[in-house]
Amino acid sequence: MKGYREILKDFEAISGPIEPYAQVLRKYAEKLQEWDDFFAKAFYDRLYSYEGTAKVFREGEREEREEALKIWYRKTVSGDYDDAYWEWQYMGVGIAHVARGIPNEYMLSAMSFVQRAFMVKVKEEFPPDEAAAIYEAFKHITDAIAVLIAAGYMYTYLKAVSESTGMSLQLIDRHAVLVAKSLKESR
Amino acid sequence: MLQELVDRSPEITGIVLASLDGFPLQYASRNTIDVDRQAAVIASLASLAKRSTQMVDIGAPEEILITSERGRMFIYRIEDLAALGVITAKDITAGMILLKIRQMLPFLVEELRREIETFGGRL
Repeated sequence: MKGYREILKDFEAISGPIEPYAQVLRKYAEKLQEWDDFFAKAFYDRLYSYEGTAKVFREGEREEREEALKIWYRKTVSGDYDDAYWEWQYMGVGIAHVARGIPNEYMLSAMSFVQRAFMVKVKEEFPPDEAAAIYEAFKHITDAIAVLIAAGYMYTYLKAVSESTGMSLQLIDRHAVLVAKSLKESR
Repeated sequence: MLQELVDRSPEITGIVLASLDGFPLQYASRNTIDVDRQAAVIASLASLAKRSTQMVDIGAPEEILITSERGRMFIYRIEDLAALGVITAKDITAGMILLKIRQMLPFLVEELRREIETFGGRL
């Protein structure tokens, strides 16, 4: 399995470099970080309002989750990313999602919500040209994060199967290829 | 080697030798089987057995025996080289089959090691 550096390298080769967008966010970080309360509330209002995502949460933990999201949001719009930040997205968030049974479709849907909410907010607060540039930067960075979380989730999932069954990742891959071929043929 | 064993052992209906990452290396069978899928499953069962015996600290598994409605399956992990699945009829003298398989295993190991050398370190 790839490490987060390799995944980011692939992402940058396919989608575009991260640094120019990080620079845009750094320029506006102070203002963007002020929106942390707005994002935490909007995000969890949405997740708690849908049965599928609401059941993921434990009783009385909303405040704690909102604080965690605010930390993530402020760091994400800061434009300052070090290895620890990317590692956190890849393994930390991926592992947390597997541990809580939050599948990638929920994570990607929630990330889509965050991006759209950010777009609405940034359009309200900035002139159109600036708003477009800031949104593009936020979208690019959060797309990279979604890629890392999805990959981290898959890695954790496969590692769990491998560790508990003794099957190598190559053997699990082999099963996946064979079953996928069979499913393709039966369609 | 596998075909020879099947030919001289009417109670054996099939043998599949799989790499530990689930690819078929050799097989011989009296019936039609999906050898790709079977090889992957045999490698998995060998892995599961190894992990399971590790967890209860009873050493490496020597063989796995599955008795089903109409047959039996013997599975072996051949060192860290391959996994072997031998499918037989149900009404057999298990001791005789085990003897034949165990006699064959050293030759299989030798053959696998030769192939590894030929193919540069991996099967």
